[in-house]
Amino acid sequence: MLPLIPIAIVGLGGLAYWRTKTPHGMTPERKQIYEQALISLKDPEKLRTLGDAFEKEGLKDEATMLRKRALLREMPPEVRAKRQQAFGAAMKSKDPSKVEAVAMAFQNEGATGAAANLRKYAAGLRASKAA
Amino acid sequence: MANDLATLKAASASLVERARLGDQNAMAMLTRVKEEAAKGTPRAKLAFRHLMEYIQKNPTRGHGYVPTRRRMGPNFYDLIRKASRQGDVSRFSADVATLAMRAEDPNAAAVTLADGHPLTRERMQAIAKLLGDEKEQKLFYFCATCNNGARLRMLVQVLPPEGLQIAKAARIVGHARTIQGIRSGHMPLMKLSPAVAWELGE
Repeated sequence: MLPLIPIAIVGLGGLAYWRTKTPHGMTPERKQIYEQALISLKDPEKLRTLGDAFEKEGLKDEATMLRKRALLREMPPEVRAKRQQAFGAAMKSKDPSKVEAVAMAFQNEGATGAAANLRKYAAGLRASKAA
Repeated sequence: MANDLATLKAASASLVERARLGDQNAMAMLTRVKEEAAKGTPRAKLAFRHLMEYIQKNPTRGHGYVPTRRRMGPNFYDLIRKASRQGDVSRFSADVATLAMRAEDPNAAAVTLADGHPLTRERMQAIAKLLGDEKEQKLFYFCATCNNGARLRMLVQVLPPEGLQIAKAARIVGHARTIQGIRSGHMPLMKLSPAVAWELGE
């Protein structure tokens, strides 16, 4: 008969040590990797791999965003053309609220760069009108 | 007659306040009214009397006093809007170059400027010529067309103050031109941002 109590104590101690030594959740390094990936990672397969790695660390929102970005390049040409038209139409608009609504739609699809540019444009419209 | 008198009184007040703010046209008109009144012109004598009345009733509150409850003219973005609609290329370029260097919010200035005349090659050249010689013009074109934020940030760190002014004006004009190009559909999204071009599948 094995002495179960000492084994359980050692096992729990080892688990506690592993959890404290291995960082979980969003660390500054992971945040940097994530932000850099949003800007410069273009290969859909690499985006998915990184998304899987983030998922394993419990970072579901970031993993979802990276997978959405992987899908952006796999859209059919007619959908791409429509998205480009929508972006152009938003850049023609003089209503900052409408531009921000389009920016939000792009953000939800993973197009963070397009969303940022539209938000900047909307901010310019607001400042120009408010002054 | 009464209507004429009221107009003259209102004009007197406006002239005096404008002159107090340093408007040289108003100062010249006041001098002219005084000269004509001295010559004995009846209308000028009447106007001079109203001017003196107004000055005595409303003494100056110091040089450069601006009444706080009155709007004293168009705001900065109205000036950009007006400049951007100038048909004459030389006036357009002079106004745009001056205002772009004074802008506090380059993004808002660019968005406002984009609503005006198309920033054609001719207009860009006219603006660049006003900013200096060949070296300054090269800087203007580089900053106006560069879509690499990191390179621009590095450049800004080594530029002298005059160069920074040119770079700011160039960024405003360049961004306005890009907005116009995207709106017309003739400019690739890559010119605005390589990230946007990638995301939208260009």
